[in-house]
Amino acid sequence: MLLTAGWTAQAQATLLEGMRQLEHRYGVSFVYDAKLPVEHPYGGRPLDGRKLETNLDRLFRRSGIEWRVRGKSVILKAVPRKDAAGTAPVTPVVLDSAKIVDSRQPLLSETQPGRLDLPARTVWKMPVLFGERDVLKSLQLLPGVQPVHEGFSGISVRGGYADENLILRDGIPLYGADHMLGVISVFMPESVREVSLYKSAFPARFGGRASGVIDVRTADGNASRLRGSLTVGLLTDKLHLDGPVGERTTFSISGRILHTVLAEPVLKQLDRSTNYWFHDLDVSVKHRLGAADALRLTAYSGQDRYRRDERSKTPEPGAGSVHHMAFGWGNTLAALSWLHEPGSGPTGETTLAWTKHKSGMDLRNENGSTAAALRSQPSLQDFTLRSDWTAGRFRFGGSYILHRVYWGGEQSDIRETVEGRIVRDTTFILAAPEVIPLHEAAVYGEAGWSLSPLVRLDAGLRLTLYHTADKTFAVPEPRLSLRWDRDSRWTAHASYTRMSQGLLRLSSSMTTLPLEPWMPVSGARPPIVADQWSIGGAWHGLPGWSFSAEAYYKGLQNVVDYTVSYHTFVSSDQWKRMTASGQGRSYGVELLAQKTAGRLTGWLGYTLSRSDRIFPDGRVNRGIRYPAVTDRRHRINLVADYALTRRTDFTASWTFASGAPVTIPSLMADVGSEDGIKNIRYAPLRGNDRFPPIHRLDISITVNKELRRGSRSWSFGMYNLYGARNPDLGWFSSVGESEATEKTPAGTLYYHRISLLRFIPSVSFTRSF
Amino acid sequence: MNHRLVILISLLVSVSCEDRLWFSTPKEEKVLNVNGLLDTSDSLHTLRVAYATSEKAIPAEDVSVLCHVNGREVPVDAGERKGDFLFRSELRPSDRVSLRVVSPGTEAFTESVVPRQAEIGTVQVTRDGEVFVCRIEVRDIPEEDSFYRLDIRGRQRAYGRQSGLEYKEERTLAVDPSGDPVLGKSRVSDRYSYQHLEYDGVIFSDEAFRDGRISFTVRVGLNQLDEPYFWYSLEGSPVDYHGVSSLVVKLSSIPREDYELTEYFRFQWDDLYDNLGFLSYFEEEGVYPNNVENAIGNVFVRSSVSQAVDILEMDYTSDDPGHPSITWKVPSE
Repeated sequence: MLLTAGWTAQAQATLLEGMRQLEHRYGVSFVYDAKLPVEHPYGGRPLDGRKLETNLDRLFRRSGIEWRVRGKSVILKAVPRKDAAGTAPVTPVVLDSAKIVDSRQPLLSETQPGRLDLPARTVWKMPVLFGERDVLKSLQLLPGVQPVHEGFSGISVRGGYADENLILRDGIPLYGADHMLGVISVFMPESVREVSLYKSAFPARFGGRASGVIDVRTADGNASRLRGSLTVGLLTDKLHLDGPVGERTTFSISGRILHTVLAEPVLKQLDRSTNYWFHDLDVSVKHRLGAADALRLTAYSGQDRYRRDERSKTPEPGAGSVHHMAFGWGNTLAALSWLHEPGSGPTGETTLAWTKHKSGMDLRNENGSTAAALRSQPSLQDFTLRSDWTAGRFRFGGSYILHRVYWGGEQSDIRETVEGRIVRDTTFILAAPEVIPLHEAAVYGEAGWSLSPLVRLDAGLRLTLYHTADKTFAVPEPRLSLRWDRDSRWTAHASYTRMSQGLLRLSSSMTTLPLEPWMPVSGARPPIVADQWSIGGAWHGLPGWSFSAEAYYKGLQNVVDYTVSYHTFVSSDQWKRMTASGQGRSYGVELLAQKTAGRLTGWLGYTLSRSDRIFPDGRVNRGIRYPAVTDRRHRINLVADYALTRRTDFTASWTFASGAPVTIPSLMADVGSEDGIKNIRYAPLRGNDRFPPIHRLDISITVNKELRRGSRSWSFGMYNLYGARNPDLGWFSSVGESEATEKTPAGTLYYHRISLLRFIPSVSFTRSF
Repeated sequence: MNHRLVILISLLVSVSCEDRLWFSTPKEEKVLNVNGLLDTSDSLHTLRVAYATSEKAIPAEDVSVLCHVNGREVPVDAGERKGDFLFRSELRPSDRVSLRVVSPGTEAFTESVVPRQAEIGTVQVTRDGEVFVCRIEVRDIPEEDSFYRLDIRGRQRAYGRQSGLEYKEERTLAVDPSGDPVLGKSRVSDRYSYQHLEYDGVIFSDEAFRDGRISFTVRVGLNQLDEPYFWYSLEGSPVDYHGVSSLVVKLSSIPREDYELTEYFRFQWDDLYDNLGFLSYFEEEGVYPNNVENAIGNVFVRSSVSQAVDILEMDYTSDDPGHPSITWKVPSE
């Protein structure tokens, strides 16, 4: 019945839905100004032409939008007013934007409330650390988005924690999407077609996380000829190839390695102490079964490895020391999708996928007669089946994910020998191995209606079921978004959405470790439920500029935190006992001024926000409200991209953010427990102080040259140009007796700050062919 | 050119820097610091009172302590150690214990209700080589979330048949719960020696047997009973002595905060962290539970019940003065 309804409703589809259809079918991406009326209804012929150009012509006829195909991009711009007179669709849109469209396109697109699209082109322009173009790092320059730990891992969307983001790679969730503790993400720009960030007004097709959705779509490979690029940078080398195989098949393959991976066999031979490396391999093959159907096989594998060996030898037998430390983590993903894109009628995608997030650690310390070792191997496997369909204005579908959390397997040994005789051999079973399953099933439906020529309502409902060994939770998640286009200059929107989350991961406030296991919900720890209200507006009255503002309030139920503080290795039972469920809230205002045309483009984003937690049962922070790890009062991002010449771009970004909250003990006190009285550093409340604000300026110059076949590009950059001393790494320590002064007496706590990321230059060379 | 190169290299080498970041968190001069662990198994209770300062906790001597049990005042005396305050009371489940610490300018207060008592069912002890295997049945306190601590103590007694002298010694033994499916999920096993186990008792919740009963299996090293200290005092005495060694199973119901704090501390002070110290880089400062108003610290009350099982008898006779004859009271596995 739904299919029939969708078929008859085809006449009410929007231009945007048609664009999505063409993106899927031809592997192109659309680049356009946010002001273009892509949300307007499309009532033309079905998009069933064989050629892309034919379908583009049908889609945009009489829409006031003209198109141009450039490579894999379709560039849209408004038809100049004199040409568009009388042909504008339905609404009295005055396409002033035509004045501002030139060969340069805006760096950001706000296509619908709560969503920001980041074209792959923008990712390529951003000045970045070590010259590594990065999707997630670029997102951190947007209002409402920030790193959880500055310079390093985790993305926080509107005060959410890193585990509260749904990071999708072609619709399949990825876990731990970082290399180098978050310096670089696992997404290679070469294989990325488009990135969408949802901060609010989440469509019903997304679920499973509480705070943000990062939807990364990879490119299918072009159907015309073999193309590729080779990039050599300070840190990594990358190779990308895509093209056709026969008439019906296209492929795309991207690989990246850290230079040091090549050195590992040699270093091992030389018995050298330390090495770290990672690699990524990204493969996509699409095969057209006919005019309407295609199969797509995607696979990804990325692994990080760190090894450190130290050995000191002494003449006395048994008196030397050996330190061995090895870490590893990574993702493996394989997905097979059936794409049904008939041109008219319902279109859909059904995917069967398997993902594995694995981490491991092996530590060994031998010091004279004492040896200690620790091994840990938590992992998470997902088996996913999802199906998403679009029929006219309706989208519907469902998904089932079997999460299998491999918790524990953490074991430590301490052994002591005296004169060759073992006097102690202790095995610490820190966390016995166990497999904890979580069944997550969801169905959803969503649709958009034009209530009037100026008002559009998008509504959806998602029902998510979480089934664990001891309990089943059903969470209905309504999604509502209302948009009012007052005229071509003013738009306003409001939304309410509910999201839920069944997999949780807690991190230290100091850093996020890839070894931290995920924990499914249980009777004791129900799913996180986030209700978000947002209201905003945009003004496009100044040619070449756009201004937007959005205010939001997000209430969170069942957030989890450690009752006292973070612990690295605990069993699942201990995790439950050492954590508590409480409430959280985030609220704030985001302002974005964007210059969308001219030689200078860019944006200025400002976020005023607050994020906190409270545990009314008193088990955390004595029941007193405290700032969340992600709480930052102010954040400013200024991004500017200036076309020095036709071939040369200069990009700069400046970031300022209030300091992160920190818990500072101010007293030494006795605290008693069953095992006696311990003398401890006593902090009265969580987050009773703050780190100083962070700020930095990053720049980048890119020089492109079109060659007879392909192009070449040199990129030079500097991260933290003026060397701001931000606390990138560090640890707490206290003043010793010998170094005590009147101002800093013995026992005074300080943070040993390491400002690692200063004046970091970068250079990379890319040859596309 | 060379000059520029040197400047550039020098700049790059010196890019990262380390320094100390000081915080301006307001410091309190001194704050009352009150801790106590009261137990129904003992009528003498100790309260430790100190002042927490930025450098260390200093025993408080200028304070007075008032104690009320079910509204009745109980006399409190200063202990031998500075900052210790002692009172005697036979506490029973559901008793309400109020403590008020009065110091110049401030007053701290805490009130606790003695938890309900759990029950020990049957206790079976067998001998498996060098260890005792103890199967202990525990009955949960119904209709509430309960937290427990299980201790096993070694009790050794001896008396002279001719002299009439009696000796008694009791001490807590290290137990190994690693073979038990509930207790052993995250515990320590020591294949060679039980002497090095840092913690004696086992703490657990009733999550696995809510409102029901469960049998735990723990192991206790035989070597812990090898040399009772009083044996040394018997040297030179008449040899006609009879001795009995027993295992005393003690089950205490404890407050949730006590349970959580104990578990937290056991990780914090773990051998593992000593030996793999880098893990502490990821640790963060915590905010500890606190159940004393206007002070730092906790006064916890636990409700305990015990059951003893004789495990062996020893007889010293003049026939073989150095070697007692041993009669096992528990079967071998």
